[in-house]
Amino acid sequence: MRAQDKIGRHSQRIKLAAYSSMARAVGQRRAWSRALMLKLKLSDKRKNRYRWLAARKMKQQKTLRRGCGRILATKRNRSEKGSPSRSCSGVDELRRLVPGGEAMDLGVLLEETAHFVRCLETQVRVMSIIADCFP
Amino acid sequence: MSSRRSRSRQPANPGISDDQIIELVSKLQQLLPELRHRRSDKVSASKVLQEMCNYIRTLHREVDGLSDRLSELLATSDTAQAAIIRNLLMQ
Repeated sequence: MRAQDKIGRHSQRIKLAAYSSMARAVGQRRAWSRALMLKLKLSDKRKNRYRWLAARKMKQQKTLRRGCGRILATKRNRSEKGSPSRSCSGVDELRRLVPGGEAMDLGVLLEETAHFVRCLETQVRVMSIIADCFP
Repeated sequence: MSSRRSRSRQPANPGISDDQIIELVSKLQQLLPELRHRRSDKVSASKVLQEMCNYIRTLHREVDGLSDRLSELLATSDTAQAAIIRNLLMQ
């Protein structure tokens, strides 16, 4: 295997390990960590670990075409099942970014987002410290 | 906005009030590095959500970058610990 391919492969595995350990550190206490652990477990079972990461990366690179509507209007629209005209808002995008977000009520989504973001920040700090430890 | 309210049907989860949502959104605002110093009545909820989405994407990109950096460091380091980690990653 070329050295560059090896580095790329290791990078993917390090990234997987980072998200996996972040979710496991929180355990069952949060909806997002439960959803993330399940997602990682399923993608591991299918032996397509990298497909999950690639799919997430593709989602991130998609341009946000929808505008931001009113958050309260979205809350009301979601309660109307089968409503043909959903108001577009940042809430939809947030649901896609937070693991398990699609199934959450709005209030739960906002709380889970706060915790998820704090954990991501900690993750970044931990990885920076590890990188600085190398001579 | 008041006409919209009168047209809406009963919400599916009447438990959470608009005030609670506003409070949660302002809590999110405190997490954002660019908006936390601004007053919460000056920043709209949709702006907070939009910035939160951008921030999450930025954090994911930072994790990507750090993973690349760590794997390069791992490849070039010749310490015993690095060798062990490389073996673990090869499995």
